[in-house]
Parts: sequence; C-alpha cells; structure tokens
Amino acid sequence: MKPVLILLFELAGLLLGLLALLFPNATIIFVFFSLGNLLIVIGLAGYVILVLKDLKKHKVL
Amino acid sequence: MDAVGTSFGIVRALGVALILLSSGVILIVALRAFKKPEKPSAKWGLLVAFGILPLGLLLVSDAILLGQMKEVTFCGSCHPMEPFVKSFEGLADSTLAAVHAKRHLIPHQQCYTCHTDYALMGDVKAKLRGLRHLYAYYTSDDQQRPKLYSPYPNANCLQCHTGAAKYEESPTHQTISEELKKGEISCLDCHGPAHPGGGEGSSE
Repeated sequence: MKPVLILLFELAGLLLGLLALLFPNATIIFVFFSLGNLLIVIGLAGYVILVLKDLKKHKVL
Repeated sequence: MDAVGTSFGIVRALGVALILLSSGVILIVALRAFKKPEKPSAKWGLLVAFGILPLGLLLVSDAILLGQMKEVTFCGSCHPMEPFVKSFEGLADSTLAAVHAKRHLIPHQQCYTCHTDYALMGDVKAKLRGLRHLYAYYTSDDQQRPKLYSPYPNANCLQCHTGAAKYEESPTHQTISEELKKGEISCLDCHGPAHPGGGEGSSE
C-alpha cells in the first residue's frame, strides 16, 4: 500500500470518528464509528506492511 | 445537565480537539516525510504519523464513543424507544423505570444500567444487541414495541438491591429470597410494569 493511501485511509477514519463524536445519534455513532475504525485499522495494517517491506529491503528481516 | 453529563461533554470536546489537532500533526509530519523518505527522521515521523497517533486516537475515540452509547439520549434517538424515555419525564408515570429515574435511584445511564446483564460478557452482549437493533430499525417496516429477548433477569435488580436494608428487611423478600435468586419468581411480578404498556416480566 502506498504511503499516500495510508494517509488518506487514516485521515478518513479520523474524520468519521470526529463526526461520530460530534453527533451523538445511534445511527451516526454505529455507522461512522464502525467504518472509521475499519479505515484506521486498514491504514495501520498498510503501515505495518510498509515497515516490513522496508526492513526486508534493508535486509533486517 | 447533571455533573456526569457536564463532565462527559468536556471529555467529548477534548476528544474532538484531540482528533483535530492530531489530524493536523499527522498531515504535516507525513507530507514532510514524503519529501525526503530516506532520511531517518522521516521514518520516525511516519512511525508517529501512521502508527502511534492513529492507534492512540482510535483507542481514545472508541473509549469516548462506547461511553456515549450508555446515555439515555443515545437509546432515545431511535423512534421506538421514545415512549420509554419520555416516561422518565412524566411526573404522573409510576412505572418502575420512571420511579427509578425520577427519584434518582439510578441518577444517569438508566437504560444501560438496567438492561445490561450483570455478568462478564454483559457489556459485549449489550453492544452486539445494539447493532442488531440498528439493523432491525432500518430493515424492518414494522416498527413495533421493542420486546426483551428473554424474561428480565432478577440479577439486574439484585446487583443494587442486595444488601440494601429496605430490601433485606422486607418479610416478603426474606420468604422468597431463594426463588428470587434462582429467577423462579420475577421481581416484576410484584413491582411491574417496568415501562408504560407493561409485559416485561413475561417470557417474550
């Protein structure tokens, strides 16, 4: 995953989390909260893969 | 707004400020790291921007939102729940839930306090049921009165009333204490209905 894509996923996830915090409504909380969490987790996974690839490139792994 | 509501509002505002601030930091640090990706400082920058900050914010915002889901306003934001929440406000309503709310026997988070099973997995079960309710709310045309999945467990009443002098000294409670603990007699058989319309004690 490209770093720019990771950045977009994580910022989008944070934005959804922000909206869920601003509007305490059941639907918004459940939908935005779940989707926001998912996007951040995808971003984090992408970052871990990026780090692993970098470590492999530098023959640390 | 009570003290708990006010402090919760402050926590929420802090959460919003933290997310806004951190998003700015993530954006700046990441963009600087993209310009010179081979520099060691860029790697540390990315660790903060892509790893530490998002993970920290994820945990903080989740904790705040999970707390928010315990509020009565959250439960009342779906239309079928409105009569239950409104019954807390009507002075004439003498149903069990309304009495608990109006007398401040349960000062806040009344729905969550009574409807979360008093067990290790009680919280998790309540959240999963919440998701199911949301799905049913949007997929079913028949917005009928919500019903319990199983008879109301006495353990949810006894978590507060056990040990209380008024409960323990009551001759009736002393006579049937074992049946109450085993759930053979429901608290609601004598003290119901819990909400306007009744029926909470039956096996639904």
